[in-house]
Amino acid sequence: MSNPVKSESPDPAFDLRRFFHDLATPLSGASLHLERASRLVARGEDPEEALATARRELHRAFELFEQGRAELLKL
Amino acid sequence: MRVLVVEDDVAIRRGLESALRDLGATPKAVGTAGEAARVLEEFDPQVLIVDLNLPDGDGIEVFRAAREVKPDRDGIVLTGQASLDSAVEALRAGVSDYLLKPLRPAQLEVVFQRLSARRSLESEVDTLRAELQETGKLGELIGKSPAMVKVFEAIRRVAVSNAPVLVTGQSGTGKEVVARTIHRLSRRASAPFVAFNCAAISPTLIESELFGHERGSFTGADKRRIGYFEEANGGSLLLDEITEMGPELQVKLLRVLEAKTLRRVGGVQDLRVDVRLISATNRDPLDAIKENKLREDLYYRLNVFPIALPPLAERREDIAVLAEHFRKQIEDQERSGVQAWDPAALRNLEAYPWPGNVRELRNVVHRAHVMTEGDTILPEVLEELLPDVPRPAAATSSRGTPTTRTSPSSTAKRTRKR
Repeated sequence: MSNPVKSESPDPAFDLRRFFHDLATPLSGASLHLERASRLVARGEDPEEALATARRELHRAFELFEQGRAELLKL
Repeated sequence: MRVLVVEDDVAIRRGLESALRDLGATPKAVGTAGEAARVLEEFDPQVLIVDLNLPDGDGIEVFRAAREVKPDRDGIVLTGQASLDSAVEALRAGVSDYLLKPLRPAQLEVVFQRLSARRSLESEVDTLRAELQETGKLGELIGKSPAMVKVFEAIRRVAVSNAPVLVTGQSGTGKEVVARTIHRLSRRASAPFVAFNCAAISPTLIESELFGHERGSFTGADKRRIGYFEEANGGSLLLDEITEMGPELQVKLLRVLEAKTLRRVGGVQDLRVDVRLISATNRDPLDAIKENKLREDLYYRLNVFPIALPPLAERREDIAVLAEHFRKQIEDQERSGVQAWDPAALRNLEAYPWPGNVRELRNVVHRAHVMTEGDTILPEVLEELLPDVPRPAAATSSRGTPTTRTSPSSTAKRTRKR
């Protein structure tokens, strides 16, 4: 027997793909800026701005993760 | 290398810009397709890194538009798992690579360095091509005559494509050299070049030689053997004297060209092959069709890009250049001190009809080199080798030696005395 709740919801597979896709954007930013901070340190330059950006992007990623998780749990 | 980053996320944009700068590139980053269009002409990027989904458009379209203006531009797409299918589509549109999100700086470095290495190789090949054309050489081909310049241009154009080539020309004009040059200038250069002469193998064996055979497929097939097609996989295969191939095998060849798969003799499995086919013949292919020596449908498959090599007699201005090139080549091998041509000897070479074309010229130069014991090849040596040559301008050599018939040994003695 089919589940009426599930059939009325958007395709769960699609949502999951979207969720990972959205999450990948801030994670990319965090990764690039952490690497940048590391290069700056190696050159003896100040990494503060790069680290702040990485921190901000990680925070964004966690927020998206929490939102996504809540959405997924509703399915 | 100028790299234009088109990415709407500001953190990724800045991160990429900084990483690319540290990789030695000159980056510029914008956030929309519209901005990309505005900076394209002024910044003139060699590479574009584009996000597939932009707020005002499609990253692939940005790349397509940039490449329309300059076809040698490369592209890298940024994509998440959700749009991996589109990334594959982008690769088909000519994008060189893709970067999967979440981006990892190590992945960016690998992709960027791979692209830089390829571009630097391509630019080296372009420079080489230009130099070779300027100096009258393209690979092993030599000539500055208008006919050969046309041939060089045709080779240069076709080398970058995968189109089948049909090389026609008399015996000894250098059809195999043309095929090898096309292969060496192509992107397949690092893969094998295999040359197969259809007239040199018995018709009953050609099929097994070309397509290979399975063990036990016929008497004497005691083990599996891969054929020339499989041997040339990823590279180029020259089928010389194509009109000597039997009609049944021509049908099979046609099928291989159409399906890009082959079946070994006695095999049950179709095998995919990626081979650039170059065929050659010293006959007029249209005559061969009339004489039922060449199937018309196969001819159209093979003759996508025809290259007709002129006989040496139709490019006399190249004879002296070729003769000198062969003299140097032979002298490098034999080191017998033959350093130059007497101008009258070169004039004799230019007057000869060369029915055996460049191959005959090379043989004559080799023999003249062997027969010369001094440092200069004199016209008297050639008299022995080219008995029927008309000699309007060569009554005497430039050193005033009377042109008389002499035996090779007496010529050698006189040369040595000088």
